[in-house]
Amino acid sequence: MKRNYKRMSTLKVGETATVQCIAENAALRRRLRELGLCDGAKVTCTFQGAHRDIAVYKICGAQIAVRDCDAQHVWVLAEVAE
Amino acid sequence: MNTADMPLKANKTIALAGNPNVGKSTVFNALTGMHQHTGNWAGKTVGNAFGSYRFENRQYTLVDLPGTYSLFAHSKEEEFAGEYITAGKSDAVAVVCDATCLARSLHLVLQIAERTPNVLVCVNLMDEAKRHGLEIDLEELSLRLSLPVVGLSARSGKGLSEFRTAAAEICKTPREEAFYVEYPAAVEASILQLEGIFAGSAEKLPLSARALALELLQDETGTVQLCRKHFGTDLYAHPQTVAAVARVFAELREKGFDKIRLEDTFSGSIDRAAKDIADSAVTESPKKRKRVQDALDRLFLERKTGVPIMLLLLLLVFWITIVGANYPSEALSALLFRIQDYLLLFCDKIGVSPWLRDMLVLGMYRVLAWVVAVMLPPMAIFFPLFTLLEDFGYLPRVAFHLDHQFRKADTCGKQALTMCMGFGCNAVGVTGCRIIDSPRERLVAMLTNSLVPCNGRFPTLISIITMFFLGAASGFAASALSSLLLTVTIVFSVFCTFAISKFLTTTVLRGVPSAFTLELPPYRRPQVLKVIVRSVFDRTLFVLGRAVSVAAPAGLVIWLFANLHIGDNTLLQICADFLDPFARLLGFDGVVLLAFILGMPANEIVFPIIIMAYMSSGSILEFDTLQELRTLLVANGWTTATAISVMLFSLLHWPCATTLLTIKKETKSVKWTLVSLFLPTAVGICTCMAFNGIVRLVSFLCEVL
Repeated sequence: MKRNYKRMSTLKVGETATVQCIAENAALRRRLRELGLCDGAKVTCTFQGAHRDIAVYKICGAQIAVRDCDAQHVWVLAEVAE
Repeated sequence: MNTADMPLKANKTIALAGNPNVGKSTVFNALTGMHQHTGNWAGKTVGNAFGSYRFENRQYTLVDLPGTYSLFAHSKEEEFAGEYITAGKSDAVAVVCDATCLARSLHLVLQIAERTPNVLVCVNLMDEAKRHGLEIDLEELSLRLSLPVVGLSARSGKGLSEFRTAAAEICKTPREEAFYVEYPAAVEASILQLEGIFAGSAEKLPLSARALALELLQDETGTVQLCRKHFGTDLYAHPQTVAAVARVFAELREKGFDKIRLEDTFSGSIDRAAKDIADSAVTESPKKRKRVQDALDRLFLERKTGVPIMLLLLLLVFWITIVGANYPSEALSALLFRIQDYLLLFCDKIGVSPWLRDMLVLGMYRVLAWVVAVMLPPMAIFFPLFTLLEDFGYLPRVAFHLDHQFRKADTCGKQALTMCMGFGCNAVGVTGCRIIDSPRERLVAMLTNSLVPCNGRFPTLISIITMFFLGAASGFAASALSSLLLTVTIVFSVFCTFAISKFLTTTVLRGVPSAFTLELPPYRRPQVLKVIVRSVFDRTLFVLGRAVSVAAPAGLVIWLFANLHIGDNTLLQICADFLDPFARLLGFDGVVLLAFILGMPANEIVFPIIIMAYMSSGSILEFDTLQELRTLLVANGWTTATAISVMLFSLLHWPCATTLLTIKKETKSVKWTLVSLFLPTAVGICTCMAFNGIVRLVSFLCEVL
């Protein structure tokens, strides 16, 4: 399987990925982890804002909107459809 | 002996904790019979509410804590909740969990159970979970957590008696131990070391030794402060202790556990344990999982449909408000002015002097009647409609759409939520700003909140639009046109909010936007009847109360102004004449400006004061419809341009006194309160002057050409 690491902010609508790590300097580190973005958790991008600078992610069954400047600190491993 | 006669046993306090938007306030209301405002978005409860109920001859005090995801604070509100629990201020903590998202709720349960084992787990929203195809095994959950668990559907009142019984039990026999999370060996070793160091001083604290050690490892300075503040204990009284603790931290660092890694270890371990427990207690049947929810979200969040629907909803709300307010408004004014005639007759009959009679009836009563007849109906309709949207869970979706603009203004996207609250009441909006974590962004949100018109200003805008901009339109066309114009007005005020926020963040409140997450809760069917009954009742009482306490005295003042003579002129004329030159620059007259000044205690009295003032100095004394009112205004020199200027100034002027006091309370700063007073005023003056200048220029050019 091809490994496809990317930032959470680059997920396309409908794409699901597994959280790998959150950058240490991210201001929201703790908050994101409490919301369920722990290593190994699944995250799906469900909607994108009109200007593509904010997106909604399904995390742990809940819908959370995060700005792309914050979401870029989360590294995920996208599921590659073969 | 009747149980009611028996002396009450000692009072017990139970804190209600839980993630944001899991229904803590609904549980609180259901148990205490109180009416804390509830709404479907994270951060609704600000401050803490107290309430009580009686059960088996004992009084229980419930404390409704603000929602929090963890005991480690991000915002002021969470800090409060965290401190309250850690400091052990209550006899027991009831943690309200979201059955539809149990793993996340359990994260907080485990954190709390580590600190105080006297925990009652309340799994709320059981009905909603069932609809989503989730089955929750409460017994298994209780077994795994070694804590009592009750299932609730607080909105329909299910499970409340189980809650009362379980809460009574846990208060009677406090629990000593609960499930606790095991951390990696290195961390457990340092927990043991810390327990040893503080073995002596921990006895004086209501915290267990392990809890104290955990607190220290996760937030050293915070814990020391907390112990000093709440227990009067100085943990670091001895230099040996400080050195010993420093050694523990150094050892941890050697093993690779720096601050970040330690944080990750704690939240990671708790998260794994929470997920593990949730997995064993929840069975998911994949059948109909949230199809309606997804469809609604596609409608409200998709790029193409989201924004148009948002504007249409706004339009619809205004249309219902305008059409709905018409009939009660006419009926009320007919009734109240008939009463006025009777009051006059009655006064004559019992021989009240004409002077006093006019002061009481034509002064106090008439302004009161105006507030009730013209202002109250739109307010009593708009507010519940707004609450229904809030209950439904729509507000966070608005915030999602507006985020781009707020981001461009370098502010927090949650400002959209507080701005929306401002449509209901600016003072409530200002208090709501506590959901914004960054002090800079919170301040921006507070200072700009009064730029959107509150419920008390809508009727003024609606009346002016109806009188001056509808032309010959009537029936459906008229109401549709006025809703459209009102929507345009509101969109304008929202753009003012963006502009002033941007101005603030590029001048006095510069800084980088802070990170935030915006929770989009599942849609819930609003409790239509309950919301309508409650808000009509509450709002009506509130406005009536204000009408009596503010409008009546204001009516008295304005009547005195209009009837006390100094030389040949009335006081009203003198004041209005004094303000007139300046007011003319703004595009209206001194009376209007005076009304805005006198209307500072409550925005809803501005328009009635204008009418009163014109009536007492003019010849028209009786009228029934807005068209006749228009005649009165036109007789006093109003044109379409005047109407626009008054609307502009109504949007952009000083916040009402209540809002100012709230800003003072929230910022604890006279300076910022003054800024919040002068900033919108200055903007309003400039806007009105610019508009008036253009109007004069255009009319001048028209004449010349």
